[in-house]
Amino acid sequence: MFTSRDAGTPRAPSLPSLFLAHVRLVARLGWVELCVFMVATWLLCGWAASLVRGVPAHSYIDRQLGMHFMALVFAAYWPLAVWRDEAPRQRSYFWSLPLRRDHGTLVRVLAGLGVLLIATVVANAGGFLIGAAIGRAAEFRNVSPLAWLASGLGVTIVYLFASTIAVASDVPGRWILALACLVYAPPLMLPLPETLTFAIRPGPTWLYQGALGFDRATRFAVTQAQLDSRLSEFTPDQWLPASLVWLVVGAVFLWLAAQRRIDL
Amino acid sequence: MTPATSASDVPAVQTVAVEKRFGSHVVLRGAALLVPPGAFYLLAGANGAGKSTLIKILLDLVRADRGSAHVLGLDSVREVARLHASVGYVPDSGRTPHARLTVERGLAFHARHYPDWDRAYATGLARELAVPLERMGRSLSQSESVRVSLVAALAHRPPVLLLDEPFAGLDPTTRDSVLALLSDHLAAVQTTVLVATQDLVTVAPLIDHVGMLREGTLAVQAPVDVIRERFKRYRVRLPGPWAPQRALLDAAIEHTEGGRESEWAVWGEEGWATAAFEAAGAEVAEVRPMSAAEAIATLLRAGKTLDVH
Repeated sequence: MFTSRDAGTPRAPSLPSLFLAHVRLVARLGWVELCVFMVATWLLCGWAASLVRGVPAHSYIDRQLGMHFMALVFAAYWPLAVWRDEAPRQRSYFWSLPLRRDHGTLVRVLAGLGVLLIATVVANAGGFLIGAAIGRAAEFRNVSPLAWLASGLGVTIVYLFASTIAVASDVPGRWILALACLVYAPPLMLPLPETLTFAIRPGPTWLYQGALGFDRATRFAVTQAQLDSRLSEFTPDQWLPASLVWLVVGAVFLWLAAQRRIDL
Repeated sequence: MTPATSASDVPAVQTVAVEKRFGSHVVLRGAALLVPPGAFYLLAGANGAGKSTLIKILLDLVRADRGSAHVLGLDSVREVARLHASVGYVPDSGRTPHARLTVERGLAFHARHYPDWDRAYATGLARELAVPLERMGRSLSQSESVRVSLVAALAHRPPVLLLDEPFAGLDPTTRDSVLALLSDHLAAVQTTVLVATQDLVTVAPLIDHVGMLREGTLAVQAPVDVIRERFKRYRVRLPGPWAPQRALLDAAIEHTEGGRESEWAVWGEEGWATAAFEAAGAEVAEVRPMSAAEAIATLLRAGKTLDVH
């Protein structure tokens, strides 16, 4: 079993190999949630498709059903699965691997993003097929590539912000839930007076509703895009600038969180 | 960037004036650890002396308030990735790569981080240590976690091993297996070992250097041979009331009072100690060298800082 060998300079691991290792780890850790997300999306698509058979085209019925929140909610939740059992003060194993701490953190977050985007694409594709089979086939099949981009960017932005919390906080679940409730209370149309629901959002209104607002950056995520993509208003200038701004802001926040020094 | 090397002129492990406090509690105050290449170095000290903290500072798991730490010349803060690649680390109580993976999958994940990972060797180590590969990480006992950690630490044959209480929670049979496996590994792979443990008897056959942490500093740091050469027990017959020289009292680590006979553990050359006793009127009846474990345990009980030079 034992062979004699001088211990020379150890080789460094390659980043692509590490990224794939973390992708597999993340997929193994969260496969149950991934399956629930995809199946739930397909069921909702099927339900929505069955409803729109009897209503005029260009309906916002999916928004009324809150379907477009499915992917955003999952994107907000997913970092909790990616970092399960690895809260910052439980990362002694993770941080003793041969990577700089911030690099290791970013590799894990990117691996989680990769898995999330794959799951989103699979969920969407399945939703399209189910929608085409049940509802108005033409509407569901005629989806612009921009819809996929808008969907992916929206999911990515929410994931980056939730990952920022998961990377930095020992109790990320509470923070993500609290922030999600504050940010999404108005769009979710909770049974509260509108002035109140908008008032409880942290920060000024332009953060959410302006040309570069957060709502605009994420509103075309996933299933909403399936129907909205056919609308004439679905043009890149509606969401792309806001999405890019919030993508950069999310990435900066994540990078800052990855720099946080914690002694173990 | 300093290249990782096992050249004999670079200490395998070194800390320079390391200070660390947690709140108002000062754990390390100027700890200067020096582990020569190829050494099996025992870092001893009472519970809470700062052994684990010092090892974590070497890995940058804890950041020193002052001072620096190096492994194979690699700075623990600026070159942490290369440093970690050069080290096999067994933490206190062991650990598995992930609580929600089977041990086998956890080790496979771990292996991806080490291009020099020897899969066949890892399999052999796991078999020797009876590692339960199919069990989930979260269901392992402390003993099983330690054994998994050993496989993870050894299978890429790192030039430096940092072992923090590697025998904690092991039953005697497993402890012997681990010791035998470590001996085989060290015989086959050129490795420097820094081990922190309270289990002096178990590691005594392997160690060749000792450092003792007390009150945040290394009170003793020397090769075992030097300690055994300079630290001996003297059974002396006393002439009644006597007044030994101040130097002899300073060199005495401990002594027992037994009427006309007394036993002294003295740090110093045997000739000098014998002459010092005789100059005070005592007769040296017996000079007895100590085993490594006895010498270390005696030094640990004492509250003195020794200058080995």
